[in-house]
Amino acid sequence: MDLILWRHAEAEENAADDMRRRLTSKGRKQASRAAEWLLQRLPSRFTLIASPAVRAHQTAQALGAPIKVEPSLAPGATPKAIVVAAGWPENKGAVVIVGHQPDLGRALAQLVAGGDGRWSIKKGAIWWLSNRVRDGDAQVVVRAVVSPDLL
Amino acid sequence: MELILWRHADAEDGRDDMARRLTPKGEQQAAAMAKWLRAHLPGPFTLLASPAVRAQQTARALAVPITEKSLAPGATVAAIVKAVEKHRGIVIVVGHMPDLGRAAAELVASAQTEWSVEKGAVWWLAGEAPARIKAVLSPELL
Repeated sequence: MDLILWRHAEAEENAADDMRRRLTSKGRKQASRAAEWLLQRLPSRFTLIASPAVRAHQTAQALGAPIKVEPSLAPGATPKAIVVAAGWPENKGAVVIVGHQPDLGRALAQLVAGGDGRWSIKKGAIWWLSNRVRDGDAQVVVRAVVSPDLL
Repeated sequence: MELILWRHADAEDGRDDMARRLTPKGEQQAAAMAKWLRAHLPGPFTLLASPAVRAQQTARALAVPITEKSLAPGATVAAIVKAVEKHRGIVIVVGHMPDLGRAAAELVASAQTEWSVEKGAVWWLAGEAPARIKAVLSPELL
C-alpha cells in the first residue's frame, strides 16, 4: 500500500472560524505545485480523503479527483483516526490523506519510528510511505518527503 | 547541521564487495539524483563517500568526493557522525545499508533500529539531533 500524507497549504490567519479558513494565493500555488508532482507519480487510480476544514478541502481539490471528506481527520485527529481512515496497512493501492499538524506528524512518528514524537511537516508538504514484508518482517518505507520549496 | 544521506545506486553482484560496480540502471539512478541535488542544494557542499566502488561511482555523478575509509560498509552511526562533524555547512554522505538507515533512525528518532533507505535514495536531515527530515527522494519518484 502507498500512503501519502499531505498537509494543507498556507491558509489565511484571521478567521473567526478555524474550520473555514481559506488558502492564501501562495497556498493555492503550493497546492497546485504539489498536486502536479503527485499526479505525475500516483497510479491512475487512487483514493483521496480530506479533513472537513476548508483549507484541507481546497488543497485536495488541486488534485482534480473525487474527495471523500472524513470528519475524523479534522484538526486534532489522532494517529489512530488517520490510520483507520487510510485503511493502513491492509488497503491496496494508493491513499492520499489531506490533514493538519501536529496530527499528521504524530501519525508519522508512530508509523515510521513507533514513537510518540511530533514530526515537523511544512505547509503543503507531502510524505509518501509504503509498506512491504521483507524476511517475514513488516517494514515501512519512506519513499519521498517533499515540501513546496523543493518542488 | 544539514546532512544528506545518499545510498549508492543499484550495483552488480560480485565476489569482491568493495569492487562491485553500478549497473546501467544504477548509473541512471545516480545521474538523476545528482541532477536533482544540483537543482536543490542551496549552495556549497562537502561530498564524502565510502571507498567502495559503487559509492564512489554514485558520488561522482555529482562531484569528485572526499573518500572516507570510515564510511565503508559496516560504518557505525558514531563513525558517520564523526566524519560529518569535521566539515561545516551541508555535508553529503554516500554510503551503505544498513549503516545509513541506522544513522537516520538515531539522528531523527534516537532509535536503535534501521530505517529502509532505498538504493540511490537521499535522506536530507536538518538541525541537531533530533534532526528534522527535510526531504526524502527515491530514484523512482524523481
